[in-house]
Amino acid sequence: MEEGIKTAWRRWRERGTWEDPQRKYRTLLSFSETEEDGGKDLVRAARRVADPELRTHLERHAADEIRHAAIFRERAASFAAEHGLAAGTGDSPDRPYDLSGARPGLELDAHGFFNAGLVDELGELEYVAMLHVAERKAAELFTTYRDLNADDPDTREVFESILRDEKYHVAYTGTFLDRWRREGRGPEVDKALGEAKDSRMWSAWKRLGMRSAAGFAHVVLFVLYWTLLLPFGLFARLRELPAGWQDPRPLPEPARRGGEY
Amino acid sequence: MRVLGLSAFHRDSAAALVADGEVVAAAQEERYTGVLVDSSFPRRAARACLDAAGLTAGELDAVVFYEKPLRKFERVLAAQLGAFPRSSRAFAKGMFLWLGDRLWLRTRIADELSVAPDRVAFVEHQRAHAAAAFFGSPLERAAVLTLDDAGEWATVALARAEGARLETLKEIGFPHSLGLWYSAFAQFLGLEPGLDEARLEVLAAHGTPRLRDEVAGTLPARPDGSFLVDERLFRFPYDAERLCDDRLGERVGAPRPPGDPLRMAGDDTRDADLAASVQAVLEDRVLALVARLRELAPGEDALCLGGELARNRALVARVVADGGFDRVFVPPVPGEPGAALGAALEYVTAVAGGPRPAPLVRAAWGESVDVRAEEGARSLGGADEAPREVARRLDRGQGVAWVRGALELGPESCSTRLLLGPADGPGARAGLLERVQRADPLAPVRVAVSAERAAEHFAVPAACPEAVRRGQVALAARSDAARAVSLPDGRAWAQVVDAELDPGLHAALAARADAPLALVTDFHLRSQAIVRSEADAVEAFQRSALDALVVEDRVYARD
Repeated sequence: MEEGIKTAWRRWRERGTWEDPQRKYRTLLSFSETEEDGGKDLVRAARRVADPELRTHLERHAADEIRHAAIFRERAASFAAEHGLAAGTGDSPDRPYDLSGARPGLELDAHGFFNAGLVDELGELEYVAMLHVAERKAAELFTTYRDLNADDPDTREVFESILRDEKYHVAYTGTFLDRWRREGRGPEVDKALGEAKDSRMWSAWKRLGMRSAAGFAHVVLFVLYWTLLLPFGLFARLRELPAGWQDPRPLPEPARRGGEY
Repeated sequence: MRVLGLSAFHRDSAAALVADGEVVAAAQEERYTGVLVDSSFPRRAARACLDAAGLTAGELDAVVFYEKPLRKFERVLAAQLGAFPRSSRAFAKGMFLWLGDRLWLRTRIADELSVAPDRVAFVEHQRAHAAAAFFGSPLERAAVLTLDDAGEWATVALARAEGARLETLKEIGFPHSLGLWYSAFAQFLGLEPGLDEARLEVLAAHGTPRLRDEVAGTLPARPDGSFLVDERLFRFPYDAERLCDDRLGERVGAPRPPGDPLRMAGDDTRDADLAASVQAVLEDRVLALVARLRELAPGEDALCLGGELARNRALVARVVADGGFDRVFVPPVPGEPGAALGAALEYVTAVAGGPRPAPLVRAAWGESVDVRAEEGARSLGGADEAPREVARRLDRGQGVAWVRGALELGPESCSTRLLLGPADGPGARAGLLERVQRADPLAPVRVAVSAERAAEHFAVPAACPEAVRRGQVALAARSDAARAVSLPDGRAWAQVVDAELDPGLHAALAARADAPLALVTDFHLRSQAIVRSEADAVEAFQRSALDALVVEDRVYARD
């Protein structure tokens, strides 16, 4: 019952992303990037772990993620072509003020908390626990995204094919966690799973909070622009910024120079 | 004194550590995140620098950011208001970013790196570029010119430097920016601003500047050597996403939509001609700046050239040829990553009164290749064998990746993360790039030649030996062999390799007496960052169609 409510809520919340071609394109691209990040991180993790069997699984998992990245990228490209979306505009709405090629914030979550070198920060058991939680969540999310793309068989097939791999990822990480439990490391496993879930939930709350705050702040700033700043703007239009050669601003004394903001 | 310089939030972010007057480590965030031109806060790069020096953040005397946030905010706000009401959308987005994050940079740096806020310092952006250009040079005194996008207000700075003293003489202020004007034309031609300026330069080499007058009208020259950006034609003063106004199309023709075929060969060379015109106007304006600098700094016979535009090889060549200076120095990393180093050097010399570092010869200050070989490696029997192995494979017409030593700072690799191929005719360039999934007629490729054979193949200027050795200047081809692999304008991005600077690459080139030229570019796959570790290199090799990968004293080969 509870699961059904969660799924319905997720569908309602995320339908807009998949109905808007530009957002859908951007989301497919961002999934490609997170899958690729995840793949790279798993490659690194595979080199760090001591257990050869776990290493083999992580290597296969890495290959899956990198393949998923290619699948998402190709689907994004063909979707853009089908809908006449200009190449290279995928991330433009999220670009910061400066000219910058930095990754925009993700609109939806895929494997959103892979970071470079995570295994070094977490440790082996904690890393596998984090993978397990992430993959289970990804399987749930991708099921929703598949269903929300019922009218787009190509995108639906992308999620369908990736879901098959996710089941394997959940299974092998679960096997290792069970094995460590049998070896008497149950409390460690439970703690790691708990922390991974908490971290995920906290990330989701932060993302939701940030998104709401950003939306609200944008509206406030837009209103400010047309009210409070309007006279200043009109005044600024009359005054051109200086052109041509200018004298440099006098530098403060050396001791104060670095502190000046 | 231990000072960490940082650059971030505009093109490539980086960190550089200067300790006791010497550069001990420098790293670029992109290499760690894999995100091209990553401009996010360089926490991984900073950590790599501290690890390399065996330091903790608490042991730093200062962390120096490469611009002054409050002054930059003042400029952003003034430009937004000046564009009222066209800036209404960009204002909300820009201000949100500034009010929520950028204005509180001291706190953010302190939190990210766990240093005390009073150890966080800020230097002016153009001074960071100028410091990178002069303090890293072997010159005792010089005139200094920085050509950049924008920092706080200044976009161009003329300076004079002597010893550990750097004096700014004149500046040109935002929005009159050569760097942003050039990036705007990159976007107008369907390229990615902030990423594809080098491709725009390659495109320019395919055309003729028949639209020079029209383009010159977008950037009028003033009699005093300065210039103006025609603000009616560009949106970059207030909008970072759409840099050009629709009215620009009325002046120079319609923009090229991204993804459309490039008009650069055959009957229709309009895109290449526009790029060539942009390049020609850029060079004209910069020569006027150089002339003004010579008036303001009479008696100086050396010039240090810094900022993003100092990466433009054709521009450097023009300044060397027509600028009137006997000596021209371009720092190893003239763009934004190099400004992280410049910020640290400016703080050490100007604020703390410390000494200048020894001249910066190479940019290889990053982490070294792992000691442990990956699966599939075959030992070559010694590091001396690596150049011979590379030469043998080039003789057989193979494409070889060569990874050795420390990672370089900057958007290019000129030594330690290379991809090499034989320079055997006009198709060689495309053939090499196809093997690494980079089939792109605009991808920059250099032509390497040993110092002893350089004069046979290229017109090598004597005024800029460091730039020539690092492949930072376009050289005119002299021989048929060089012409066959040069760009259509008869010039190549040549790299003259000497035995002192890069003994390994020199030995590989010298071993091929009958074929002294080789094609060289950075080792990475399409849309990916330059490889960092041996594991990254092996992964890229496996996904490529290259014949071999040489890493230190071992080889991974398909045969």
